[in-house]
Amino acid sequence: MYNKNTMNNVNPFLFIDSIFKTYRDKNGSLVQALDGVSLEIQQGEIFSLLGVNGAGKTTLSSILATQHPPTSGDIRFKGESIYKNLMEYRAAIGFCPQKQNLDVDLNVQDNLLFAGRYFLMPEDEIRERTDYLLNILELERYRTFSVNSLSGGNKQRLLIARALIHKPELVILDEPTVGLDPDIRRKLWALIKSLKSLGITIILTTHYLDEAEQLSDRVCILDKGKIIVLESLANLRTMHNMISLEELFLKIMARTPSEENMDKEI
Amino acid sequence: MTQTFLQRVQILSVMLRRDFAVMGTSVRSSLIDCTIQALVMVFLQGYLFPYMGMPPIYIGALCIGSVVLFLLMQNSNMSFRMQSDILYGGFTRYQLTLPLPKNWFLARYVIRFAVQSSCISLPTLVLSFIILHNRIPNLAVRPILFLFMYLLVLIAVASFLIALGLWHDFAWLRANVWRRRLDPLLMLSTFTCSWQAVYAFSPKIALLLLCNPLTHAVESLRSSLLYFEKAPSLWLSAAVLVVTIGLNCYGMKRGLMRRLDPV
Repeated sequence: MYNKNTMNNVNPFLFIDSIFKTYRDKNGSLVQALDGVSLEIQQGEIFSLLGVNGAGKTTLSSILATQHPPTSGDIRFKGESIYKNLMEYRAAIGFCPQKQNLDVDLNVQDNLLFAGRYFLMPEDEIRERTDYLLNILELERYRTFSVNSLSGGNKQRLLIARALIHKPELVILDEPTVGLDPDIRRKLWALIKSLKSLGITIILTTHYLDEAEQLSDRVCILDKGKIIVLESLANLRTMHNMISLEELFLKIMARTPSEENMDKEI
Repeated sequence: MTQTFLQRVQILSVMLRRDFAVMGTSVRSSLIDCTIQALVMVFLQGYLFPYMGMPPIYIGALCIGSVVLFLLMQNSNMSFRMQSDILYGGFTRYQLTLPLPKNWFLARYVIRFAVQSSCISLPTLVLSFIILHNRIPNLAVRPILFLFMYLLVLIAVASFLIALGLWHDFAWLRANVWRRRLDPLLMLSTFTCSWQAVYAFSPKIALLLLCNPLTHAVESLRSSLLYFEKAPSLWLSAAVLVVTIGLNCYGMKRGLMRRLDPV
């Protein structure tokens, strides 16, 4: 299903090259979170990372967001290793993490204003962009509210707004709709689709299969730090007579049984 | 395009602008803190202790010792806040993904801690010295030297507490940092009495106390504001503080890598 050799070698937008990540857990034992992950992401696509809890999705997205370094391997952005010019890469990405990490000392508007300033955007452009994002994410009425007074859904929208403030070329969304009610989830889906229409590349980490099915051009299923599926949804449908992504996912997980997977969320 | 030094300075200044904006919301609270601390110091060290028999030569020395204690207390509180932010995956982690190298990120923390702690300690010291200036017989203020030494002390204390905060986890820090790190350093320094008094009692103990950087922090401030016949050389204290800052920087960087594993 996944063949590294079929990858296009002509400078893809993002090329993840044999990423390994090993760390020690609280008990001191070594955990292999990513085991030689290689893949390409094309410009303008929505690429979903799927897998059970502990599969390595968040580890991979945090490495892509430069929160942590890989133990070995490289990531090339437009043909160049991101570690050669880390600051330029950081300016080109927007990251919405799984855990909310907003600036609780500032209000909603100031969170966005300062986020824009960190990327040295001109002040009038920051204000314009802040107004635009508050408007499309329906946060306008919370403009002067403190972050702590926002609901979970509004905090999530503010995180997405902050990730988009500097007009990134690549947006990494790590479980962006966890804990949100269905109405807000649908609105966020619409927003993610609109980002794609603007030519923004999106890496979406999710364990909601309906979300991946609605939004993705391609999906990558990780299990124990390894890629077990990497394909477009259209191809998956043809190749596996797949009715739904959920059906395929369950089929694949049943083929790679592990006691751990039995209790997992998906 | 490679990021320039100037761009890094600009991003650092935005971060500091954000910190000062947040600090600005607690000005009133800081003023209350300064006033209370200064008045308590004036009452105890300027009036009560001399009436109980303390020679007036130690009034200024005690005030400076107390200010260093306040610096440690305030920096440790800020270190706790930083730790809890790291523990709960907060804003600190977001800042580590901004286009600023981690050394600059650490420098920003040191500046923030130093400025925030000086906002209370400096007015407290100045206010108490203004009130007590007639009661301090050995007052010999050298303002430029004082500002230089005060800056070194601020950076040394701030970087030490940040290094501790990054090195240890939140639970350990909260339970043990005072008992196992700060109290021994403080008690084995000269914060409650001048180095001259210790030297008069035992030159060997006085020399041993010079191994403690906190002795140099306290004595360098005393030497720039007061006159004592016997005091450690200001340049020795400055050198020890600079070496301490260097070690703290190494500790901060190692601690950051250990706790947060950043790129």
